[in-house]
Amino acid sequence: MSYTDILICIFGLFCSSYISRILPLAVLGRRPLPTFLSLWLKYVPTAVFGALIFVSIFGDAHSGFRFSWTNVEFLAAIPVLLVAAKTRNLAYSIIVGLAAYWLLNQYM
Amino acid sequence: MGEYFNKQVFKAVWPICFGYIPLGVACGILGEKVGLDAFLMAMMSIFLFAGSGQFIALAMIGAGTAIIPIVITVGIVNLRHMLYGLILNQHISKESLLYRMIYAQEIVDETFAVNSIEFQKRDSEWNPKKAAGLNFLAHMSWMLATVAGVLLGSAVYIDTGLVSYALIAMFIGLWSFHFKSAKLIGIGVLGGGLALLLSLWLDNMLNVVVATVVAAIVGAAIDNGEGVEKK
Repeated sequence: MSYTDILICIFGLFCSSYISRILPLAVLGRRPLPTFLSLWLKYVPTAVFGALIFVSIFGDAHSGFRFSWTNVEFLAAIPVLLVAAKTRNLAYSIIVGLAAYWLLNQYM
Repeated sequence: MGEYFNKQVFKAVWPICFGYIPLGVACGILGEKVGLDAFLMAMMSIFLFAGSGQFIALAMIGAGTAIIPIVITVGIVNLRHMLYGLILNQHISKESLLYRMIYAQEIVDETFAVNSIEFQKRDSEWNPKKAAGLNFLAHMSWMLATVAGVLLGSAVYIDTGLVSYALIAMFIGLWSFHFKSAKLIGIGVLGGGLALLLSLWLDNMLNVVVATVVAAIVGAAIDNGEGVEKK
């Protein structure tokens, strides 16, 4: 991507992200959302992170799935998941992830 | 200024700034690898301001994806900010439109989590001005950390695998914030499984977008309404 393309891309990213941010604050006011929509929104974060995590760890059909016990991305995710579930702390999760990934790469 | 920046604000914001250092630096290093300079990185951090969104956008730029799929994917990933806005509304809906337009840009997982906790504390005297001060400090520290990452990335060699693992660890950390019920966890696993399955037919992260939409519909359908976010 050229310099200008990246600038255009950043502008597009601003637009597609600002819509979700401004709608409830400036447009919807305090009117409640339709029930099904608010329930759907409640499940979007967990679904999106689940999808991103699985794809990052196990790959995809194009680059080839990585379902194996020697998959370092998968093995390192186990301690991260335990620490994240216990502490709910982003910084600890990242530090443990980097340490586990680095260590596993030294020995596998 | 004391109304926006004071001891209480600093006390509430420092864990966010502290967490942003490794994350922002990793994001900047990735940015440098895919061709962003310090100016572009600062623009992205000011106008997009979304940790996971920026990582995804940079990874897609690096993979040579076209602009439209990048914009759509990040838009879907950031849909969750709408939920945060709906919950924050009760505390800031009386503020001016300008205030709310600026506040909107500052909604991310971390500022939402800390501000909503502070607003809910009965004796904390948290108010919209302190929230704005916290948002500003968090946003600035994120921007500075990402720019520092670009400068660091151009000066020393850093393993790309390690940087991209910071992203995976962050996704897991962000996912864990939603471990509030078996259904919430189950829908995350369903989203993951669907994304893998759909990758047989869809690419450019479209599998992630479709898996998210479908898994969240299943979640809404099986939710008995007990867990609707309290307003």
